Amino acid sequence: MIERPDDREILASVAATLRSEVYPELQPGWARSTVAQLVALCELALQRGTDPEPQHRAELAAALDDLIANPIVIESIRPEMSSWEQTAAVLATAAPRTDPAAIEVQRRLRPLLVRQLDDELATAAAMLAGFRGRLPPMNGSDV
Amino acid sequence: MSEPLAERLGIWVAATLGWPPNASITTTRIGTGHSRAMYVVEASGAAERVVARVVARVEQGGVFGTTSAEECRVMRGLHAAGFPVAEIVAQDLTGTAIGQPVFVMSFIEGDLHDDERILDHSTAASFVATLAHLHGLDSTALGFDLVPVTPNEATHLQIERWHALVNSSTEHRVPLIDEAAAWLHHFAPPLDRLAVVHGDAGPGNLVHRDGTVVALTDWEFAHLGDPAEDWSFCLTMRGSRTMDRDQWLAMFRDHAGVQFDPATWRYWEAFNLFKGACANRSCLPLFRSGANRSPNLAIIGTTLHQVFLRRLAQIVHS
Repeated sequence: MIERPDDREILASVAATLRSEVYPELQPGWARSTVAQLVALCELALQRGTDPEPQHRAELAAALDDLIANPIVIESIRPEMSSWEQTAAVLATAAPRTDPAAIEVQRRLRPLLVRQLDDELATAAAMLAGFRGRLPPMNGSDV
Repeated sequence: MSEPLAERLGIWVAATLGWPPNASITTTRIGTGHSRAMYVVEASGAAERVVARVVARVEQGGVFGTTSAEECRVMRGLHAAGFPVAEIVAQDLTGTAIGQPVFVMSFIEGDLHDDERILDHSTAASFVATLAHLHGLDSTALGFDLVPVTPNEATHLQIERWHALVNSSTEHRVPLIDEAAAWLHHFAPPLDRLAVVHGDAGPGNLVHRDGTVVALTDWEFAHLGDPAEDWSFCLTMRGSRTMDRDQWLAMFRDHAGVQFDPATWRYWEAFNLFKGACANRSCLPLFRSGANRSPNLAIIGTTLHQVFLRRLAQIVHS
């Protein structure tokens, strides 16, 4: 049986070739920007880990469990709602309020959501460079 | 439709505008604009002399949930009212001609710079005066899709519009978005008069020549609402690299009589971040479904959405 390159090797080839052979040959404009965006996407696919969504959902479920006696949580959520829906409903109810129940909800849920967002934004610099038509910075390991 | 879109576009434009059959047609994508593909379409005659030149604006599978139909109506209305906007010379809003809704505008010559966000003082002042002129126009004949019954309804309608878009673009709710929507509804400033709001106002969305704005461009976000949205958008987004905040504020005051308190500025910055976060997220399902595989849509739908959301959370939580 003939060995075949795996998906990561193919993606690495696409990214490296676009980076070193195609991008430098193009004039500034839409085509060159698109090549930079493709490099960013290929390198993201190579470097990112597993989808954090299940972990994030579990963290929210645990936080909502901690708030189970909070009046806003009691009035806002229903069991058939997902953790995302429950968190959204609780925060939307609390948003304009400054009473102790709202403050408790905000103090527990806001930092958690912002930390999850920051985790996902860890790749932002490379993607933003690509979006602006510039090659993302090299990180030294492509496969 | 086996030919590339650019080729189909060139053929359709030439036929629709009655360009000479022996003219050589070139179609070049302009390196700006993500929600619409922008092309310069030219006809050249003997000795490669350009005999006709227009700009085509092509939808990208429904990016941002805005429509060329409304954009065309508004642009035509503004042009008829004498406002500086390109004249629409052809349109196919059904998508049958080239596979996507498209409209074609007259080409307006302007000064070119390497960085479109950089404006000299007189051009910036001209822009501010032009935007103030827009806000003072009579909006009744412009044909907006969303028409609030009362001015006070306008901001709430826009919040709901963008909130509905993000909810139709995601597999699960985004709690920080829902929280921000509730916050924006609660703190929405009262409005006593509906204005035409550009919705994406600032450097990069205008054509200028010799220190004067000769056209505002990119009208897909135009709507009826509060002019503060536009001033804030220019201050914190499109114009943030053009000059510093104090210079913009002085210009708004001196050339448009616009002054707000800090809480109002903060509200409208949050509103625009909310709008951006919602609109950006709408790109992801288009990319994932194959409706539009352009890589910029994947980046807008993920990273740009998150960048806006992070700044939005900072304001709402402050």
